[in-house]
Amino acid sequence: MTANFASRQATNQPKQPRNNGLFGNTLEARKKRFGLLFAVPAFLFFGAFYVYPLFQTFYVSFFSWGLLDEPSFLGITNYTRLFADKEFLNAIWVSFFYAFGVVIPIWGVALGLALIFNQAFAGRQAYLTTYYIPAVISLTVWSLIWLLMYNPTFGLFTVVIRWFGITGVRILDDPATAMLGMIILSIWKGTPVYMLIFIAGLRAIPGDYYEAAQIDGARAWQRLLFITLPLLRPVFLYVMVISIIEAFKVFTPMYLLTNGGPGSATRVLSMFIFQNGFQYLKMGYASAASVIFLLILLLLAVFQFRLLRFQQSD
Amino acid sequence: MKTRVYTLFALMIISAMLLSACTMPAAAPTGGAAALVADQPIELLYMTHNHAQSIPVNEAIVAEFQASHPNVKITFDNAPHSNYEQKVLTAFAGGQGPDVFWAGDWMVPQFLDAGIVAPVDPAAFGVASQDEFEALFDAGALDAFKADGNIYTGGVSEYNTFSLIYNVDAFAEAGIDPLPKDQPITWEELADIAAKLTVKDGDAVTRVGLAWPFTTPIWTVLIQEPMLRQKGGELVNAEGKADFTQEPMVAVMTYLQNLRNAGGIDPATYTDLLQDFASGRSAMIFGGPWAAKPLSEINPDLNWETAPLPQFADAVDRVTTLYAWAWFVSAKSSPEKQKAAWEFVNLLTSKQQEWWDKVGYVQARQAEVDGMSLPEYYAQSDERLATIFADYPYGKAEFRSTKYFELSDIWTRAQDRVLSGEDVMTVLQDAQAQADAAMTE
Repeated sequence: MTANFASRQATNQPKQPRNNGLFGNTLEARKKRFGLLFAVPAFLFFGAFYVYPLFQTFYVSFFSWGLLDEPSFLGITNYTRLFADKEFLNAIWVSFFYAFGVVIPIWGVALGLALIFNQAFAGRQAYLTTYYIPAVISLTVWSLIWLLMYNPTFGLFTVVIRWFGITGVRILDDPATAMLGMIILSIWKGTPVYMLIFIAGLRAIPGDYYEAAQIDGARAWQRLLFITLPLLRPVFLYVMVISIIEAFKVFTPMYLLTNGGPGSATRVLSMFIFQNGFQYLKMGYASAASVIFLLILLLLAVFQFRLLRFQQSD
Repeated sequence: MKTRVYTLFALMIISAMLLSACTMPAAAPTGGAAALVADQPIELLYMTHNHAQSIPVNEAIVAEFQASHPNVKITFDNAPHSNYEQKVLTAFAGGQGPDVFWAGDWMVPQFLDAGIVAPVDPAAFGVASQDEFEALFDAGALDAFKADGNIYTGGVSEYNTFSLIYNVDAFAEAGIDPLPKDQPITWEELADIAAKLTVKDGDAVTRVGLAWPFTTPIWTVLIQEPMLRQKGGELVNAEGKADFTQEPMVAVMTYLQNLRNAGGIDPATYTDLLQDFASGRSAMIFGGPWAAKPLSEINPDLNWETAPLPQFADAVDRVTTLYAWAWFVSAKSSPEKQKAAWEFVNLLTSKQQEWWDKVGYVQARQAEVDGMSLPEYYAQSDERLATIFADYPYGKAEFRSTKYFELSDIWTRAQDRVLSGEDVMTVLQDAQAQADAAMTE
């Protein structure tokens, strides 16, 4: 009787909630901890090569430091100097001009090509492979190919535009056209990757929608406008975010083809930072420029993600 | 749960910040911390750029030195020419700087400012004083490496000037007489000749009169600084201040703009200095003794000649350019390492014949080869080089500044804009503002 009462009392006691969290004692918690163990190398890598340098850069931006000397604290002087530096302001403008000059055409061309290659036609795979070739060539090699293409004497680009009656073009040598030259080679190089992403997005749209629309008498442009584009919106926003960030990070073509010139016509932010940091050994100044560069990219990303959230809730 | 994860994340961030603060890079450690016993093994790091022909020569000399110094092990490292200087500097910044290394003379102010190069140890070269050490070399060859009464190199690995190299057939085709070898023509005459040598097919320039690497900052300095000095100017004055708006600079930039407008130069057509010249795409270039061998290899049929570097008609002084790569020993290395390093440099500099025969590098350390002085020996391999060697005595090293790279970039950007047709004075005023900002830091 007594034993029965005791066991009943124990049964009636309020149950302790099962702790399935990371620090719990359940099987699920153990699984989580075990899973985390596998993520540790990635965390360490990310911490050592991304988080630590990020904070280091931020810290160094408050110092004058020439790599070989003792750092001296400057406070925010590097930042105030930057905003008075015409070359830095020019580099920001050049970066924006380049980035949007590249990505806006890429979005249109990549989407257009994706729509074409999403259709079945003879030789589609061969054409697709050909269009993808620029993406697999290294940017260094690609830049050097275009250096020869732009040569005003024997370059293929010069020869082609001469057929259209355009003569006397010295594309990389003229401050008015040098950036256009960079934009053209970058569009050609970047389009195939985004085209593939768009194709993947198009393939994910269920065919039923198109069949239903067809039965309802929707024309091709209506199917594009009211089915394809709205359903492709998340992919499009992903492409926007990635392409803009990639375009802002550009360095190689400017370094190899014009060294930022003529004058400062193609001196993008990444080149400004490289030159100040590793050629002029102004690490504090270059770090401050990097922090501002990061903030610009963050602001752009936040704006785009907000747009994405707005579109999704829409 | 969420709170714990956030706490963990915050702790990680704080740790990273603390780590950043704790490990704020400081100057590399100074040498001589631990004294090594004389017969204790010594390891040296020897760093050079990766000029292909120089690598086997360096490797052979390393092997020879190690054979005669069994306690010394030398690690030979070479890096691409384009970012070699950055590699050396970042290695020093990380406390992993080389014990012996190549560097250009324009780096000396930065090295001295950072205290990373050691004054020469004459005893390693078998002489008693720095004066005796200097006497081992051509007069003036070590001037760029002197400071505070000390010489900060063990010798010059590559010693260069620029003269004019031209295509004789192109001259004949344009009806221009070959240039005198004993007397420089004027820059004004050169502009006329360059314009006449330029050949066009419609709007395409098939051969440009004169070419050099227009976007490479060091070339800007090497070409324009002698012009500036001939006009009586100096980019950096005695107080270390850069002056881009001085009259001689305006004159040089105006000259270049006129040269471009007359069609004598066309930066857009430039691809590669020697390839363009050897294939007839340019008729004249600037070059040193190093150009002879590759030109003969690229196009053995090319009919080329040399002439002294031009001078302005109103030049106040005959000036050519002079630049050198040299062997340095790190002041951060221990005294024992430095001693071994200087002995190694002595061996490196005493291989004058190998450096010329196998690499094409002119040496400044005097020697007799087959009963001839070095210039005689060099000229014997190609008599056209005699004209170039005659330009050496008029050479002046590049300007001295810890801001060399920044100022040469500013100069190149100004040149670009002037060649694009912008107003010379406006461009130079902008350059001055940039230089002032650079110099005040």
